[in-house]
Formats: sequence, C-alpha cells, structure tokens
Amino acid sequence: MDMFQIITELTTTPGVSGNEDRVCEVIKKWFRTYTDDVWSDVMNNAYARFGNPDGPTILLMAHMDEIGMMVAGIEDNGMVRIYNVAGVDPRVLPGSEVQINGKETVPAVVGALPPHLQKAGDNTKNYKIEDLLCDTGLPAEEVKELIRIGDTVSFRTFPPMKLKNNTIAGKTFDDRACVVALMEVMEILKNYKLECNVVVCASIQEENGLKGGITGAHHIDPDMAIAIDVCHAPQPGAKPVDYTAFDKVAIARGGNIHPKMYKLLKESAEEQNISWDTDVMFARTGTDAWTIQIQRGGIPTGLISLPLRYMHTSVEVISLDTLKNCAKVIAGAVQKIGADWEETLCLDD
Amino acid sequence: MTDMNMIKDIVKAYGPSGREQKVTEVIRSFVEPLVDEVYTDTLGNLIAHKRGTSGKKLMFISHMDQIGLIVTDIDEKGFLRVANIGGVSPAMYAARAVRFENGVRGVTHFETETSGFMNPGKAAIGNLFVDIGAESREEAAAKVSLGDMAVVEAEFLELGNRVSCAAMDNRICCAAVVEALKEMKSEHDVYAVFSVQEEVGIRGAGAAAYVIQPDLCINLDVTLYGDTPKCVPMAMKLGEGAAIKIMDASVIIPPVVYTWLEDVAVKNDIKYQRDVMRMGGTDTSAVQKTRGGILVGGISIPLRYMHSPVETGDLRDFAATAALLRAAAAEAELPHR
Repeated sequence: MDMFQIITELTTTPGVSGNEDRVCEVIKKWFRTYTDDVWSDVMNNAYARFGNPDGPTILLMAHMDEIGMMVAGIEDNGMVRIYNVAGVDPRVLPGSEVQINGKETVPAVVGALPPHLQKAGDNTKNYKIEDLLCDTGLPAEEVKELIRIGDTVSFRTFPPMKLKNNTIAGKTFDDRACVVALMEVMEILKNYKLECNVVVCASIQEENGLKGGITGAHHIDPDMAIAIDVCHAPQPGAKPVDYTAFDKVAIARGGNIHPKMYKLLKESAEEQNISWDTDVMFARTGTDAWTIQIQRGGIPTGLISLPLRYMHTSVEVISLDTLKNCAKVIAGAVQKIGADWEETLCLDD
Repeated sequence: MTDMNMIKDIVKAYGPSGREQKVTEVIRSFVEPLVDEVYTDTLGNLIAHKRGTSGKKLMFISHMDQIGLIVTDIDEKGFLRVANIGGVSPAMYAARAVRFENGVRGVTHFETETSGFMNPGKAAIGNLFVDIGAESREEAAAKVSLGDMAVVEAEFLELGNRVSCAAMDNRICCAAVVEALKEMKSEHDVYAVFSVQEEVGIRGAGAAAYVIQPDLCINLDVTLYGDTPKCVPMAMKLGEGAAIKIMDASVIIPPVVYTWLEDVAVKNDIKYQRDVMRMGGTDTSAVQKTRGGILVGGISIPLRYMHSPVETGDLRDFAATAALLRAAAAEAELPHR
C-alpha cells in the first residue's frame, strides 16, 4: 500500500472536530479495501473488523478529527470572525492560509496588522483568537451568501510536502497519519490467520474531550485496546522530558497504561528489531488511551506514539519509516493475542 | 400570552447545586398536569414523561440548579465563612442579600480595612462572609449549620420585553420547557429532564441520559451575547430568537441535528439565530458521550450578565424557544445518523 497516497487523501479532506462526516466516509472507503465488515456509529466513529470473531477482542484506535476553527460572526465589512474549535494556537494563525467549509469551500487568509502600523510593544504581545479575522476577498453580502456562523474553518488543505530522508510535512498528521498506520496494520495482517478479533476504530472528537474514545470503547466493549497517537519529537525549544527520538516508536509506560500491554508492545518491537523507546507518562496521556482505560468495567490499554515535530501547525513533520514501524509493532502485538489472552494480561503477583 | 407567574415562580425558587428539592417541587407542580408521569431519579433529576407511540425517545434537558454559597465555618462573632457553589464571582456576591433553604436571611460582605468607599473588586471567596444578624457563634449556629447553602436574593424585574433576576441561568429555560409541554403533541416518548448539579461540573445529566437512552436529546440552556458595550465579539443578541446551538466550550453539535432544528424553525415561522458560544459548557456534552454516544442538539436563550444577580433575558426569545421545542416534538421524523 502507498502510505503517502492515503495520507494525502486523508489530510486533504477537511474534518474539524465534530464535523468529521466527509473524512469518515473517506476512511471507511479505505477500510473496505481490507474487510467487508465496516461501519460507523451515531458519533461518526468509523470501524473495521477482521480476524477471529470468536477470539478475544482487541480495539485499535487512532483519531480522525483535526484541530480547526469555526465561524463565530461576520462583520459588516465582510471579515469573518473565528472561534477555536480545538487546540489551535492563535500564534500560528496570522499570515496563514485557511479554508472556510461553507456552502462551498471558500479560500481565505488570516490577516495580521503590519509592523508599520503597530504601536510600541505590540510585537511582544500574542494575538488572541477573538482579535483574528479571516479575509475572503468578498464583500459582506456575498460572504453572507456563502458562509454562515457555525461553518468550520480549517488550515488550507494541500498535499503533504516531501522533505528529505523519507520525511514529510503537512497538516493533520495528528492523527490521520496514525489512522493510516492502522490501515498498514491491516495490510500486514491481511494474510495472517489471527486468533483474536480485531476492531480498528478511527475516532472522532479526540481534540475536543476524547469523545470518540469514550463512546467507541463503550460501543465495542473490547477485552483490551491499543491507541496510537502522535507525540513530540525533538525540536528547537523542547526539553528532553517532552520528547521521543524522531526515528523511534514511542511505547507509553505509566499509570494510564496497563503494564502487560506495555510489555506486549515492547516485546513486539524487540522481536522485530524495531528501534523504540519508552515514553514515560507521569500524568494523563491526553490521548484516547486515557479514556478507553476507564470505559465500562475498565479496559487494559496500551499506547503507541509517532514522534512528530510542530504539533498543531500546518507543517507537522513525521518520518514515514517510523510510521511504518509503529504499524509493525502493533501488528506484532496483535499476532500474539490468542485464547490465552487472560494469562498474557494477568499482572504478576 | 406569557405566563409570567409561572416564570417568576420557577426563577425565584431556591435550589443551589445539590439542594434542588425546593425548585423540584415548584417545577413538579407545573408539569404534573401536562404529562403522563413525573418522577425523580437517584441523583435528584426531575423527569416528566409524556408517552408516545413511535417507539422513539426524545429527551429535553434543562438544568434547574443555581450557583450559590456554602457555609464552611462560623466564627465566634457569628459571621459565616463561605465557599462557592459553582461559578461565583466574589465581587458580584459582595454586599448582597442572601437566603438559606430554611428561610434565614443575611447579607454578604468582605474583609476590608476601608471604612469609607469600599471596592468590592478586592473581594475574594476567602474573605467573603455572611452576616445573618447573629451576635455570637451560638446564636448563628442555632439558625445555620455548616454545609448549609445560600443563594442571592434578587428581585424579579419586568423590563419591557426583558426580565431580570438571579438564577435566570437556567430557570428561564426550565420555564420554557414547561411552556412547551403545554399543548405539546408528539408521536414520540418525550422525556423532559430538569437536571441537577450542572453548575458544579455537569453531574446530573449523564445519569439521566444513561437510563433514558434517547434517540435525540435537545439541551436547553442560556448562552452568551454580543450586544452590550465593549463585550467579547459574539453574534448572539437578545430578542433575535431561539439560539440554535452549534457549539459551546464543551460540545460540538452534529450538523445533522442543528440543520434539522433550523428547518423546523423555518417551517413553523419561528425566529432563530445561530449559537456559537466561546466559553462555558452545558449538559449537552455529558449526554452526548453517554454509552455509545447520543445524538444531541441545543436551543439556547441569550442571557446578559451571566452569574450575576441581574441576569437579563428576553421574553421573545423565551417564547421562540418554547415554540421551537413544541414544533420539534411534533415532527414525525427525528434526525438520525
């Protein structure tokens, strides 16, 4: 499978948190290339099931929603006021290209006051989202015909840039690159006779309260789960405690993580000679794993992370090699889940 | 014709988060003649159920609790020390008349070394106190116990098309649900939930949704506004109609639901506006993530000066909200996904 091609299709489809209808359909289309058992639920979580339906169920989850904005008002001069839907840093918005997903896709830019016109001290202040406006180039009457309060605003979609060294830059690799990693897991496992029942879930609204993780885990009621999300890679200004090496699969360990799920993933990496590192989680992981763990009667949950630079910008950078390795580690772990799964997960005395 | 007495009775009823019994009784007295059964659940949510025939369940949820103060200590001179129940601004709660559940009245003030012009901006929850007229700890303790809660005593003001009082958040919406239940016709099972403890972290809503498992839930709550001097820019205005929720800080409404509500509004000639609220959460979020997920929407009433003793809303928005609820319940087809 051509990971770059799928990443391109997924990341150029808008799907701001809570408005994932379109990207949900695209993901289901790709899921169907691996199994006929594909569906979505009332929340728009997309699922694909394969493997042994009588075996223990393992849920694999990556989120499909993206950070973005929403139209909060239209000024008399046609400028569009925006509101943060989830996780957008207002500092990266001035001077950026966006698109307003209205009656049609309307290109726009977020303006910024030129330095010539700023007052003394303005350049040391950060922009606040309520001060930022989108400029579509249209007069107010036409803006109001095409755009309504409540329309989503996303970073302008463009195909990822190929950087050197099998590295790519683009928007929404958080976390659609990991959705693609789960497709790669299906690719690896497609000719393998599994003892367990696998449900892959591309979840919604992770960026807005982990809502897909909550409802998806409840819906599937799995025996165990692995979430895959992005983590920080080394980058200018970041401290070692914040990141994992760019070329290593980050396997989470901490209170939120079941020790035996950690062990399972770690052994899978070691057996395949995949470069990995422990990603120590001393508090909440901020991922779907955090909430999957406490659904229903509790679910043993592990977490794999793809190191990424410049999270929540439109130039997120990842390594396709590391992405592929994440998929291999998950696939290896899934292959180990069989009828003796309770022993595998049972904590040592 | 607006039933002003009903609105006033519901808005003025005592009911801080966790102590909703009195307001429950008031709302119960209004809804009992309008539905098939009325009951409270374990957490205290009041549920009015009107039976239908379609096999579908439509739930409305409107929180009935209000913000307030809780007594944490009584000093030797009989002053009560307090902590906040929900989002209380200490400056807004200084120099106010308050009332306890047992009817004891008092006034609030804050520690200050100034005896002339006093600046309530210096008030903090830690230096706020309640004076109930007692001259000793014993005298105060005979009237009020640790853990008792007080709410601000505010006048219900009729200001033309507007009304103002404390606890308009969210009693104006509770009253709108009662108004809608009058002459409500629906093929669906309608559950009107008056929820507890929204103001202290959205505690009641999830339990109600977990048990009822509705096909669609419409939340009723107040929203912010962008039509007063120098306020944060927001599109909602008083008097511009029922505000159909698209998002607040806790929830994003599925387009399939808010466009359905808009279609219902247009079809029935009900004035509406779109509601994108920059801050503040609602029961909607807890309902949405219940079990495997529930389809949710919201109708809001814009309310000025939120969490102050003079929360001000518009009766036309109240009427439009009630009308939209009634019209939504009358629809044979509910949105689905």
